[in-house]
Amino acid sequence: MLLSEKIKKIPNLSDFVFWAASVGEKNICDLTRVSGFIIEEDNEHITFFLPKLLFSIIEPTPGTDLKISFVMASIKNFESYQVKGVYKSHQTCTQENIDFYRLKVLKTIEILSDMGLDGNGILGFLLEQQSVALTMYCSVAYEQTPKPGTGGKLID
Amino acid sequence: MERSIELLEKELKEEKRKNELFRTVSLELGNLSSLEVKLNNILALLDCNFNLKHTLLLFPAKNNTVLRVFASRGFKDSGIGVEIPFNHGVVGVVASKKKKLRVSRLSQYRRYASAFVKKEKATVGITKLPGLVNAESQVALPLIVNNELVAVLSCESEDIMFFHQADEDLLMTLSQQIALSIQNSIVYEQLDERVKLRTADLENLIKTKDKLFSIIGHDLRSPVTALEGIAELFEYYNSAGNQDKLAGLGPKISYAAKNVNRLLDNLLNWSLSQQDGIKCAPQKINLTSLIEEVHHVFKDFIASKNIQFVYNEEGEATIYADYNMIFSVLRNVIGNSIKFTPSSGHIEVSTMDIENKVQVIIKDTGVGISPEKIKTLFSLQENKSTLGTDRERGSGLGLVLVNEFMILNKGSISIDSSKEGTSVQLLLPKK
Amino acid sequence: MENKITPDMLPAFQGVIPPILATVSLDGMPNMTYISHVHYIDEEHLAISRQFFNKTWKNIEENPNFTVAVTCPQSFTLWKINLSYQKEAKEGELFDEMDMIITAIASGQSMENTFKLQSAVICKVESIQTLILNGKIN
Repeated sequence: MLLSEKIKKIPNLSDFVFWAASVGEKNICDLTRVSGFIIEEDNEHITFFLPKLLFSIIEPTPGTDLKISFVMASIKNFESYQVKGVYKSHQTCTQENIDFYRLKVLKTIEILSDMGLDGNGILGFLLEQQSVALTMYCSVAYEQTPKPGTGGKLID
Repeated sequence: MERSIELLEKELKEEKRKNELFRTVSLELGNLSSLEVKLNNILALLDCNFNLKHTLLLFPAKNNTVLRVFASRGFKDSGIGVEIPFNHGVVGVVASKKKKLRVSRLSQYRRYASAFVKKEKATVGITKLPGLVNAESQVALPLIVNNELVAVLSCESEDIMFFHQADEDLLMTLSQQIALSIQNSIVYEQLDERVKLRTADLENLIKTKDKLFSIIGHDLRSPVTALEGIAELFEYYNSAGNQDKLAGLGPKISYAAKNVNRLLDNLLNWSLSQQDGIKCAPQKINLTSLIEEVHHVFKDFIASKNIQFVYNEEGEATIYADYNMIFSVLRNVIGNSIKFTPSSGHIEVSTMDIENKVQVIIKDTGVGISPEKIKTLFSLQENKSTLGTDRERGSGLGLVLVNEFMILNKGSISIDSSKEGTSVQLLLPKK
Repeated sequence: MENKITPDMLPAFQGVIPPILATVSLDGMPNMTYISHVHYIDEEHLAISRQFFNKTWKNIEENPNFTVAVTCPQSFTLWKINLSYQKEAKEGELFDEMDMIITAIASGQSMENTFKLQSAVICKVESIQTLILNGKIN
């Protein structure tokens, strides 16, 4: 599925925090914070980044259907989106990946600190190395901003 | 082990601090003061002891349907008097449920509402309470006595993590004391107000009573003097053995006594009706009959000084005024004329219509009043009685009352005087 | 793995850092949604305010075991709490308490009709896992 322009054009991504989830034993979710994401050139895959230690929480089990969910939510106004799909691959982050998401995470930490929270305490662990880049195929995307009628698919 | 001791020491220090805090705050809350002072002191206390810099105290009003700001601290606009409905916003909900509430991430909710939610018409138009532009957290506590909501205390902060559970618990413990302290101040103010009103009422009653006594005493003076005169004549004729003259005095005594009695009745009845303060009860009055009645009161006095008394009526001579007050006015003015006119003098009373008023002029050939004296005639403090041409005594109150009565009846009085005599002009409404 | 909420976790339920709720549909697709806060009932029970999330609710009907992740704003510890659906309350003390917060926020921002509490969803704590401890990956 081609990702909606709406997701591609979200301004101020530093206002957002990210989560990813997979399904583990007994059909219960495993989830974790992630550091950031990019949309691949084909507009059908996204790659998100997270510390290796956290990757082990959501690492899909071979033999399962590898379903993954990715959520982004604004810390400023609850605006949020969810992308559902399947795991494709993962690899160690390149320096380029690290430089990319590091800037964003630091900016988010700053925003949290401006709000009176200890941003580094809350999100600092996202900068721990080593880190992993996980690529997923996007089947569907939704708007998740809390409001009546939310949960609608994002289709251009 | 060491760590446990350290922790215990820390806890002990904290408990000591709290106890000291309670003691300080309790002392201050125990002071009796006016409500405004009390509320501002409470907010200052919270600022100094709990670092609560931005606070409001709101009281329920309009039958517990709104909260009204009575005191505020730390805001640009004090917002005193601003009202918000129960169940609106944090303070409104706290008032409605009588339970404390803490909210945080206020900026996130503001931005969310601004970006994604259409403003609902019913709530648009509600006045905003004073508040921090960038408030991130807020705590509101109900202040309750005997299950009645006395007030709501609201505290804001720009720090998202400002309020901790421990702080809330401490404030809740103090809230009962704060509520009682506020309630005491309210009762104190209400009592104070009642005492002031009652004192004012009593003072008015005393003034009215004094005035009534003055009027009665003052107005009775002439007829009693007349009776005194007749009694002296009786003594003289009796000692002279003049039986004819003695017999002639009988009807005069009877008349004078009846006059006094009638006047006394009038005055006492009238005074009873003025128990709640001097009241003006206007009615249509035929001036001619009234002037004739006044003439009757002073008939003997006039005769004893051989004064010529003339009444000229022009026009309708009907006024709209309080009967007893105008009776008193005429008694006083005509009585004064008689008092200050020498024997064989002349007093002329005339009435004339002038548009929607009636003018009454009482003109005499008396000794006159100096310009300086005229200035003080209507003033209670400055006015002192002057002896009449035959050394008649007064109390100095007559014209003060006359002036008051004329004002109450929407009339006016003016006096012109020279050594040749005095002219008093009264203007009274026709209706 | 613990299965009782401990006192040090309580600040995580004060609504400072929004928790995330994750459910799984019958076909195994995870679904995540942010919620305003999780309400502490006792050491074995939590409540979630039901306001909007239709997909989440559908998943819970199909699969009553789900997860919530909460962060303590003081210790920066992130817990993953596995819950099971018990019941829903549309009135009563718990509902009133949760409704207070939502009404206060909603009325303050003129959004009472949109930001409304439909019910309080009462859940049992099945297990708790510490993912981040004092700001470090556990």
